[in-house]
Amino acid sequence: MSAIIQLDHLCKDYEVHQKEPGLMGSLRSFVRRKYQLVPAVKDVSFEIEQGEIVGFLGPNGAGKTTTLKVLSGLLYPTSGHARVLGFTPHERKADFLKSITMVMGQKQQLAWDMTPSDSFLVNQAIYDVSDADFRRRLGELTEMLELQPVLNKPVRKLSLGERMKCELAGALLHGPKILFLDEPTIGLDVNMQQAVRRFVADYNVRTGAAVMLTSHYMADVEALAERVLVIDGGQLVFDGNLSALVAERAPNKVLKLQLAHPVSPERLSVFAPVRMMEGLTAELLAPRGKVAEIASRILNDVPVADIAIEDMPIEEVVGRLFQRKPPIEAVREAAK
Amino acid sequence: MPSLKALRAMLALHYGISLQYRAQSVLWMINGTVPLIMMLIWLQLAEDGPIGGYDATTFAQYFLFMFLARQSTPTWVIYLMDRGVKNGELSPHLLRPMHPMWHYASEHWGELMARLPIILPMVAIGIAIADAWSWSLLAHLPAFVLGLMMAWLINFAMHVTVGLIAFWSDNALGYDTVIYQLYIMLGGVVVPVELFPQTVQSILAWTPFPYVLDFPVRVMIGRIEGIDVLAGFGIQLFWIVALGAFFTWGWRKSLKRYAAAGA
Amino acid sequence: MKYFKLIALFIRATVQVQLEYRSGTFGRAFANVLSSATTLLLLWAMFQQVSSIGGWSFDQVLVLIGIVTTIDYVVEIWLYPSLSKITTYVQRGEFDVLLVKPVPSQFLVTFRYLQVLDVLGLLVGLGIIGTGMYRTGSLEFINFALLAVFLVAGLVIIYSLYLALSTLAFWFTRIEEVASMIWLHSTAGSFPVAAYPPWARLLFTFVLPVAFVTNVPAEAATGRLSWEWGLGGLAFATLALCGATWLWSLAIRNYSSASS
Repeated sequence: MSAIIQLDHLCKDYEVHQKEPGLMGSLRSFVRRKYQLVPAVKDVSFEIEQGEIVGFLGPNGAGKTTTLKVLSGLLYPTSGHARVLGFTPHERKADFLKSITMVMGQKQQLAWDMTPSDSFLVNQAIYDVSDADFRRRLGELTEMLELQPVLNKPVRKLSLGERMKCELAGALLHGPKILFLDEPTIGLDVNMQQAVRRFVADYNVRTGAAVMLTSHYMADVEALAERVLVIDGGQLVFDGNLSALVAERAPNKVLKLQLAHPVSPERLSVFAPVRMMEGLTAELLAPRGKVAEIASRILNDVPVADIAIEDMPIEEVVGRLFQRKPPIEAVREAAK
Repeated sequence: MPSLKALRAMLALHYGISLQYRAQSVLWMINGTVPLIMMLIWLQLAEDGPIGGYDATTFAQYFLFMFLARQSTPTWVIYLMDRGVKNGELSPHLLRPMHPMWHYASEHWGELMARLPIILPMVAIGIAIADAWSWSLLAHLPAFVLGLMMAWLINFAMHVTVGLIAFWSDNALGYDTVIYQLYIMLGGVVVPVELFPQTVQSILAWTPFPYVLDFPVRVMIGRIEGIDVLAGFGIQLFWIVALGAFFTWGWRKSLKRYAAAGA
Repeated sequence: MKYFKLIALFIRATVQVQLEYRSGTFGRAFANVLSSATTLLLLWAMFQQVSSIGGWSFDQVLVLIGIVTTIDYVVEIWLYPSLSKITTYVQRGEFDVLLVKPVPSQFLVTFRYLQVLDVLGLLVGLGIIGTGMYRTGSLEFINFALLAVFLVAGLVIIYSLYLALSTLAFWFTRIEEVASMIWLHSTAGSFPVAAYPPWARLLFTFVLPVAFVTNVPAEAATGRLSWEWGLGGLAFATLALCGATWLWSLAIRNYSSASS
């Protein structure tokens, strides 16, 4: 099977104008404006095959979104080549655009003052979707995303989550073969996040579409992607299996404690290494396999008001990849 | 190019949006009343006899149909392009298998459909009050409508071409004012182009401006007839093709600079 | 003193933003000069056909155009940027931020955005007035003094009208469009009120009072102002300012008691 997305030594620079602070600074930059080329993506190559779900991770400004925008044809590469389904994306051929979709946060493709149904009908016509296909897909999407109650309300009256679900439905009505999802769950509550995840996974299974998604939430990536690409500072620093990445780089979960009474860090470090301690809040690092056990021991021993188990923030996982000093070591050093 | 079905769907959508802002577009129209104000002035001036071949009836007809032409051709596409480039609102349109201009154009057409039912009665009432009706107007109507449609295209092409500045500079809106001024002032909204001094008229003839408003209006009131009407259509067509080609070339160049700001 | 300091600070902040968008600044200046040039061209074209408009000569109308241009630019660089924000504040519910400041809210909304960088247009307007006055032979101190007084009065009327219309935003949310009717003054005011049919003269004197905003200052500049119109202009300006301020305070009281 051959790759449907090929990215070959992609580089993308942005032109940014330098602004100095203050009125005089504004005046100087008005007279002679300094521009700086900021590389957003530096020499990134990868291939993605049909049916794959690939998680695209990296801190803010790492170049994730830029890469997705190049692959979807919104941006011209500064150098390097992209091939998607045999097309050069930035030529934006109609047949190419009909085979992909891109969901970007709350970017509006829904008309604000009209109902989602109105916008969907327009999409149907623009993408030449036959009535039969349209009805079938809309039916499926409505059921899976539970859209029935919102389909005929003006978009401006919908909640953030409802709008996101409608954006997603609108982006999939033409049955794209490739989905570029940029932060598809941002701003959604946990239930909604799960619904979107289930939906994407199911769409992938049913249609064999390839999915590339970026997310701030580790859980999104864990639930969906077997393969992850990690990008940092514009460079690809990891391409491989997610479980390998997690086992290697984020073996711990974060136990967040809200204490009822002050407790010394020493008393907590008996259970697991203390990552952070501030007043009545503490964060401990517990190995994945032992989280539940450690948590129950803590609950028995320590006056805890509240407890939460969370993933390591992606920034930290990625930070480790890049051999930055992970916070835990910094804490240990400070403790010495 | 989108299918007819797609065009119809987009028109329906934008028509629906415009209807919700009906009250707003009524007020917006008040701001397009310059031709009516000028009509009052010229009618008063013409009380002492015709001016440059225009008598009171001609002035009334000229400015009432000028009002109609002005209300049929306005465009805010530079504003849309500026916002699209700055906030990245262009991105969703670029992802569609259709030139984004179709979306912008249908927004204008949908709004026009909501506005015309208010404008047309206003023109009719104006003609009745000014006692400016003549049956010959009816005969000129088809040519007027065709001329207006071409005029719309010229004006839109002019504006989207200027709108490309949005890709290259921080603020294209300043240039929106420039092109708007030329469209209004040189189009005949204040002074009928025929009443301009001869030298000015002959310079203007080399620009698209008289073909946006003045030409269709003069066809309607019968001040351009016969072969000259055809020649005028030919020149209109020339401007549509020339501006369209220039825009297409510029669009391709400009898109390379699109930075898809925002998300 | 504090208020002058505040105005200086507001100007500084606005200028900084303007400098960010430099081609916009150039574009606006270019547009302003171009628009004056085309207006003069049209005026000249009109006077190729007629010898006077509403009894005013070319040079007298020239002064009128200069005044309209000047007032237009003041609206553009000051009143519009500042007052048009009122509707935005109200719609977004940001108004409370203004109300808790220890400075009268009317002062804040009036002076917040003063785009002094765009003074070029103002110079063009004053230049046209000067040219017209020179050509009518009315370059005398008394005319300048009266011009200054009635130009300010005209601005006060425009300001009051605009403020009053924008204040309606507290009761009707979609008011922007109504407020933008204010721009009509620049078309309607470019001609002597006497050039309109009688019913329109009433409209342009009492409803959209371009008679006081543009005609009276132009008459003052060319030494033709009658004392009745002069007094009328001052009275109208005073009434308009009081009315608008009263409406504003009413709106603020309403707003504070309505929002908990």
